[in-house]
Amino acid sequence: MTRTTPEFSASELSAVLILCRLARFFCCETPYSTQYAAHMLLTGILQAILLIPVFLRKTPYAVPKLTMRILEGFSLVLAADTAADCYRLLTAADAPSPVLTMLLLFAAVFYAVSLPRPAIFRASVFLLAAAILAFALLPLGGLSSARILSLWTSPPAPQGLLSEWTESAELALIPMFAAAQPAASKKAAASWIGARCIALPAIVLFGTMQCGRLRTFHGNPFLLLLARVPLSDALRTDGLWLMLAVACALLACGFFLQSFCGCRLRAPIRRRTIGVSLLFALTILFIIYNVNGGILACAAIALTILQWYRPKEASA
Amino acid sequence: MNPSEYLRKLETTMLSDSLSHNLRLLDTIWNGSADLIVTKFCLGGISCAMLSCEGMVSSAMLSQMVLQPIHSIRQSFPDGDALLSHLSTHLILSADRKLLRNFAEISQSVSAGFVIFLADGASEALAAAVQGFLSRTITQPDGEQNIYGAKEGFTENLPTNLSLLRRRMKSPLLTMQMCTAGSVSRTSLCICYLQDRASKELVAAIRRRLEHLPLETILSSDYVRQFLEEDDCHLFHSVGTTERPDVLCSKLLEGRIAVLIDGTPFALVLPQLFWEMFQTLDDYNVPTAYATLIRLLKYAAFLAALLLPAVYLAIAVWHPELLNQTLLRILSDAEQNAPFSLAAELLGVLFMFEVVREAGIRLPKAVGGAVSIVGGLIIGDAAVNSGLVSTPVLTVAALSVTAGFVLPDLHSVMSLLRPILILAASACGLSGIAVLSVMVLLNLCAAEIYRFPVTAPFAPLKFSRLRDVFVRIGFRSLAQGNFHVSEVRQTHDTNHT
Repeated sequence: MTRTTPEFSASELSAVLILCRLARFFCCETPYSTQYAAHMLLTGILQAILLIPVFLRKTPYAVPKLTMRILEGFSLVLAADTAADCYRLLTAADAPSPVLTMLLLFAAVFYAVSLPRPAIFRASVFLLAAAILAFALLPLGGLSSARILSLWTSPPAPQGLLSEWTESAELALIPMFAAAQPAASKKAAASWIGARCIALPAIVLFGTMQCGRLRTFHGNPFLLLLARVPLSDALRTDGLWLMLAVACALLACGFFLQSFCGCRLRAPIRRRTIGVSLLFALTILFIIYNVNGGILACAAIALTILQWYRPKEASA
Repeated sequence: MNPSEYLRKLETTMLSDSLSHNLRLLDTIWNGSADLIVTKFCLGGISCAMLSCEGMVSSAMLSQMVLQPIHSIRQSFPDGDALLSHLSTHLILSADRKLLRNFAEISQSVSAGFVIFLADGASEALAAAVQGFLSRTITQPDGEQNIYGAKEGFTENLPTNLSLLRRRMKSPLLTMQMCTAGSVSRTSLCICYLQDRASKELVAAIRRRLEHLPLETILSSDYVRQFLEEDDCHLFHSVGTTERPDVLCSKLLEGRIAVLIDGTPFALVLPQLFWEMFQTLDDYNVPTAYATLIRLLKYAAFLAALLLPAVYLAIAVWHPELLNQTLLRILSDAEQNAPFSLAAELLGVLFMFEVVREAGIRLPKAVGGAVSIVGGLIIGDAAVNSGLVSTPVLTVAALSVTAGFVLPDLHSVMSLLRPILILAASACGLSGIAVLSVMVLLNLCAAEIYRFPVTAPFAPLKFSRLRDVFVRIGFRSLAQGNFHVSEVRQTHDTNHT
């Protein structure tokens, strides 16, 4: 009997899930306060509890068809929401030509979706390695200017608990992958929880310790973490973090869209790429121009379209 | 009639037992070609003809191994078949002898430097190998220089190349399978592998692909490489080339398969993983720490060669806040009087570099050197002095180009991507570079050859096999558990539907 290599390894799924969270971390306005870090930790623990069935499951299982469709529709919404967040970040950071960048990003996502599925997983490993290197350099750049006192004097962040749930929505997709490959998904979920509960709160705490030297609050303060203090010679690195944010967002969108196309499909979806990308574009536009309640509306649209979309896919 | 049909027709045209008829037919097939030498003589009472190709046969070998022995024949033979049988078994000393039955075999053997005997009354021909054409001597390869390794490189002569390989690997496990490709050129190819390490299924797949190459001729290894690679839309090669027999031996030891082609000094090796482009033989001849430093330097050089001009442009035009005041002042002073935009300047300088490089390569060596001096020094200096190009732009472009020379295998990719990244940086700043870089990364990650992902063992991650990727660990550790390329092979199908 020929041994079949799993479509993704635990490290690849971990990488892509962590990148999805990182994309949101960069693109959304994370408040830098001790309270928010505590909320992050608490949410992470609650999410770990929710994932207990995934951890206990040892054999593959079948997700009910309707649940699968709902999850796939949700993936489309997540992709569009991530892209919309990326657009907001580009606008807030005064990046040049945000619309042109979004068009370029859209073309890149289109390309990513047209590739065989393992490409995104493999690229995520590369990007996560780059992100880890960048984060490892953070203490070197900012340790001298960190003020521990800021941890007690940081402003409260009451929305932390709620926003943490919305910003780690890839949690919902983990059971979808666990259905096919429980062992790899178990390890990936553990890594994701580890990154959520340990690495991100630590970064937020570190950012909080830096906040005392930030003079203006514009866009994501994390991007200004290593900002130049007046009269110092340190280089600002926010533009370089912006690169990482956009790269993470791109891969996250590609991953969500491929999940939308059916996580159990090994074959890529060249023929369906155009349709998926059109849906993606429409959803982005809808979210960008209807921020309030747009997500729910998009979910409804996506689910409706799925009813028409799935039978065609089955016949192919 | 296309070449394949013509060849098939020749294969079905069998030799007759009439010598004059065979010679007439041969003359028609070769169309009276000047290099076909037909010598008629009588031997043992039977009319014979000897065919050879001008310049392909060694006169000394022909004389010592064929002509002198057959000169001693005194007895008579009942027919041509008996004569050829006697020649083959008792007289001709050549090690490689064979009987030919059709005109395709005769034409191919004559072209390969065999001498052919035809006898009246024989419906077969006897071929004896006495090849002796001139070829380049073994020299150090130009493209893969090293300091500590052997100074021998492959030549254009396939048997010489096979001997270079065999001298380094005296094991019967080293298997060499010959095949022919090119419907007109009928070029000899040799598939080399270690039978205990290479996958038999992979060898068979490669052989199948080589035998069905839709090519009329094979003039260089790249003709074949493009057919061995699975997809045309990948930027990075998944089939490598080497001019060095020692490098090829190390690849074969890892379970790879090589294809040597007659007429080219470049051997093809597959599968090639991305990281191998950053490895050289000298990495294994220097202390571990130094080898690791050099390895990391190469990765940095690759990133600099690819991204430096674009990042410089993006920072200077869109993100000047990334620069400290001193750098910003230098830059603004330099760009103050420049007549063109930064993007135009960078593209212009890179375009000039490519022009100078092409001119330097194609011209004779002496003139090529002069072109490089004129292009690099005189034009560059004049451009800066006249104010057409600013000094930082020239410096950045020169740094990027020089960094690219560290990795000659990736030169084409870098030349292609540099201007595209510059355009993206010019339009969208650093975020444009990020998007394009991820696209390149995706392209790299999607590349597979016979289900070997080129990004392995980093993605898919095999941690224990990273010991010779970013760093080079010590030889004692490296010798424990040799890397075998089959470890990274995927068994699921990821082809497009």
